[in-house]
Amino acid sequence: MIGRYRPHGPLRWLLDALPTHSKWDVIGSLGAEARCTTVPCEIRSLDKLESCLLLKVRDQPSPFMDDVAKAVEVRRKKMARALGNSFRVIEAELMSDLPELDPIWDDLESVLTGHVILDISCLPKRFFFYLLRRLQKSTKISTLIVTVTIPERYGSELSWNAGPWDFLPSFGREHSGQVQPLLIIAVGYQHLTLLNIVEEGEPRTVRLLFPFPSKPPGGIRNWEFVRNIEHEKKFKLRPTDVIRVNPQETSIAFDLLTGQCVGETNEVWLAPFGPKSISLAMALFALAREASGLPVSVGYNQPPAYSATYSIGVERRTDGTPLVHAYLVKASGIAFYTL
Amino acid sequence: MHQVKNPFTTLYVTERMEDDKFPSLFSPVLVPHIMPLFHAGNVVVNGTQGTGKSMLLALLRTDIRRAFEASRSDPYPVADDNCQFVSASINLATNQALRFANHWKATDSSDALSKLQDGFVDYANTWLLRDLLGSVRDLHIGPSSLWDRCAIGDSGVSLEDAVQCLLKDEVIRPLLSNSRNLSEASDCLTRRLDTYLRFLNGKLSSLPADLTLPQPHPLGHPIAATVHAWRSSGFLRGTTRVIVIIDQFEQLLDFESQLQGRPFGLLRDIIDDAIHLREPTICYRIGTRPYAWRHRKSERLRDYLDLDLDQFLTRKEHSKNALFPAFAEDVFQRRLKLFDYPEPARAEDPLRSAFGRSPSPGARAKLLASQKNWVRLVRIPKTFPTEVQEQLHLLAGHNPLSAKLGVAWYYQQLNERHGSGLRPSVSLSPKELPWEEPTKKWWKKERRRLAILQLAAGFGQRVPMFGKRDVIDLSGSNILVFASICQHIWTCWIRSLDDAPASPDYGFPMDSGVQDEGIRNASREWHKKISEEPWVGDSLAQFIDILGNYLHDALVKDKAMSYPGGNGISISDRDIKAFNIVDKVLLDGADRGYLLQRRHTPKNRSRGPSRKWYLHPVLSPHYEITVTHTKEPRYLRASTIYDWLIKAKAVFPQDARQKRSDEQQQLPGFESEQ
Repeated sequence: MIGRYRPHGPLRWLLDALPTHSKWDVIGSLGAEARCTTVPCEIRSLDKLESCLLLKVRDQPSPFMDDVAKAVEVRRKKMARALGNSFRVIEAELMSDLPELDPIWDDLESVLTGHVILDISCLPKRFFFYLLRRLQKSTKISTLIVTVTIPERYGSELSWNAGPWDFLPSFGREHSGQVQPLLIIAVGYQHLTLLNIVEEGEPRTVRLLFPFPSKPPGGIRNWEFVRNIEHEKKFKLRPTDVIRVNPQETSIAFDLLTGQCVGETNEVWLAPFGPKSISLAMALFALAREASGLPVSVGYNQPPAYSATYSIGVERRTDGTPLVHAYLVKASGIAFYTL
Repeated sequence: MHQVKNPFTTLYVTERMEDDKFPSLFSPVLVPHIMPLFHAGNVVVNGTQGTGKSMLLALLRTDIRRAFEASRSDPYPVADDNCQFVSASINLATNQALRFANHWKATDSSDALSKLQDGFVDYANTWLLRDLLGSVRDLHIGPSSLWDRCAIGDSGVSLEDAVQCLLKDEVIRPLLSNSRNLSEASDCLTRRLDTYLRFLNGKLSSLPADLTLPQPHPLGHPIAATVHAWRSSGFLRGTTRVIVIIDQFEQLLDFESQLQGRPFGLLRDIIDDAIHLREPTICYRIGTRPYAWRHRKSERLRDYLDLDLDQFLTRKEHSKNALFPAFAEDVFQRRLKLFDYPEPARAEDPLRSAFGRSPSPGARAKLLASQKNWVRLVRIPKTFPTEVQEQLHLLAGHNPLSAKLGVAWYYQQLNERHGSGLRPSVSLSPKELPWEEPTKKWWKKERRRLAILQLAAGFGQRVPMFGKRDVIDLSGSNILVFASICQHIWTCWIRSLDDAPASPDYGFPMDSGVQDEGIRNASREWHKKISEEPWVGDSLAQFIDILGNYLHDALVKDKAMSYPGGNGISISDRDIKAFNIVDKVLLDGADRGYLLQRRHTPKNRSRGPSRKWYLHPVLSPHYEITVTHTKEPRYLRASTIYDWLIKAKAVFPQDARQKRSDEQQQLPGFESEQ
């Protein structure tokens, strides 16, 4: 459905606006980025924290590993100061797939009480796409909010030795026939090794979700990404194939994706390289399209390691509070993002 | 106005080109060298990226055979008597079978692992059987079908009967259920594959019972059973070969090596076992990059024949009978023809028609500066005796290349005297250009490119590259690089046109400046591609940057031109053994085509067997190093490279993947790798 109101806004505003005054289970991450501590600390400071489950995702060995380990320790100490012993850390390998992810979910679900905040700020896609699927489908979860904390800025070096295009766990293809998909790419900073998509199955059409406006110098890196796709990967793009979307507007991005795929009964492939909120829209759109019985897959070039300075600091409002975007995905068991 | 099109916009012939264009773009130049593909027995087609493996394997595919059949101008490049075969193919990069490996767990029991392996094999078997049925259908239909012409089978047996006879076979029946015809059989197999994909996506908690076979089959078994049934029924002749193509084999190695802490090589070994078993009814064709086909259980010659594309495309040193230029020429001509370019003025040499001749060394040197600046270009050292300076000054005014070689010559004389204990300030008598004497022909020839590079570097210029010879040399025997260079030149050329070319020959040859710009763009793109290599891109790019910059500096600073072959490095096998990580990084580069690796017999025999590495020639303009490989490369210690890697953070002590790589590299056979 296009044009539906789906509540979203600053975290504190959204929590106040909701009729429920229950406490929240927070699922987040314990990583190197400063912003991973923001949401748990915010919820704790509001005295609304029921439980806090943090995924500590281990990267593969890389030149970043020492810096990452130091930064993670700093975050852990901060978390311990703010939350005491009321958080639990679940360790997982970055390259985890369903055999590893399913037990993690079973563990999480046994603790969750019904109102969940999933903080995807620092969660790798292969984790948050999977968790979103499970949380969305779980009848135990009545209310689901997804949060994204905005950093002060992004680092110049984001990741290391990205892998080939591959489908995210549980979002792979389910049709063995010949492929000529519609490919929708969320434009980001690093194009990684997108060429593999061409080798995998020549996309019939390519469309780009372009974050606009983008904070300088991010816009330049976004256009570099587009240039790479157009000139070096030889995808022929028409002006109308580059669709601008506000990087925080998950709901509008979801509607744009829906609009682009109206009448599209063939396979749609989504490539979430862009801002987290657009990746969230892609995850929700994939789940909605799948629920309608239409073929959809989501893929990515998973790097085996991320930089300790993937992002730096936390963006703050004029009143000093951290800038956290919150998206209401489910309330009273009813999903907001459906076709 | 006739719009000028770039004939090289699409580089990959197989992945992105429509089937009907394949016959006109396919170059038959390599066909005489790959005839084992059409004969009985297993064949491994081995080659780095861009050597044309997939293009050659595509010749065996039925859709491509039919495309040739439909083509009026381009006949199938192999005679009918070699075409008595049907094929089934699986591309491991695209068919999703690798997703089974994601389901391994470190804690899996051998029983659980075995079930997953069985699932992978059944998926691959099902895929291949579906492809074989489709292949047979496509060969069979049509009045003058390939089926009859190539004497593949008896056209008196209908396709329905062919399916029915399969249902009597115990191996095939569970796979085809109660299919009544080919279409139903194909649908049945598709449903089976899709069920697996749903299972791999976590949509099914376990595999449904109807997917469980009474007994798991080894890879290829259902195909073999199909062949037996069809031969017994007369549908297929006894002499018809059944070819199973497994392309992108290296994906198995790449994929499994990333799954840390889990069993390694389980899928890869399945295919290796199939080759090793030498099932007589099936001829396997494996397309792979070199690194993935090391340390196999199967044995070359006994179990399979190795077609090493790199080996026969790479120009042998001192050989004039190179295959690659003819291959490139043919590819070039076909592209232009497909895009309706008029017959080039010199049809027998279309590359020269489009790009012209590359400049002679002397002419290339003169292009670096206007004539009034030729003396400045040479940068005659003030430390040379006055009479020598005067001599070189005079020479530089009309022949800057010779003057630069003269500078090197005098540097060498000074060095020799210095080495023999004579004072370097000793006056040299300027003879009549000793480096130009006939006896110094080779001395001069080996240093001309280096001299031009030094001239350019000293004057803040880059060596201009254009013309047929440069395009071929920079391609480094890689057809993808060649097409990429042509593509960039064409892009620049089209951009330079104010209007469509008025003359029928398009105003060829193209302007040298335009070609130079295109070549530099291609070089930049290939440099950028390094960091896009899955799993190794960033570390490899950092290493190659260090190596490229080191070689550039060393070449430019070598004023005496004592190391004209210094655009490559040599390390002794004995030395490198202590540094597996160095070997791994060098292999990563060579396996992906960014480095060229050769065996090296060093002048200094005490170093023992060695290997030498060069950057791929297409990277030469980017790093500004010489292109041709001549004389001795620079001798380096593995520890020096190790230090570079540490400095660049391209390696790190806890690199767990390295341990795995070490295990592989200790296996026998490694020493003989080229």
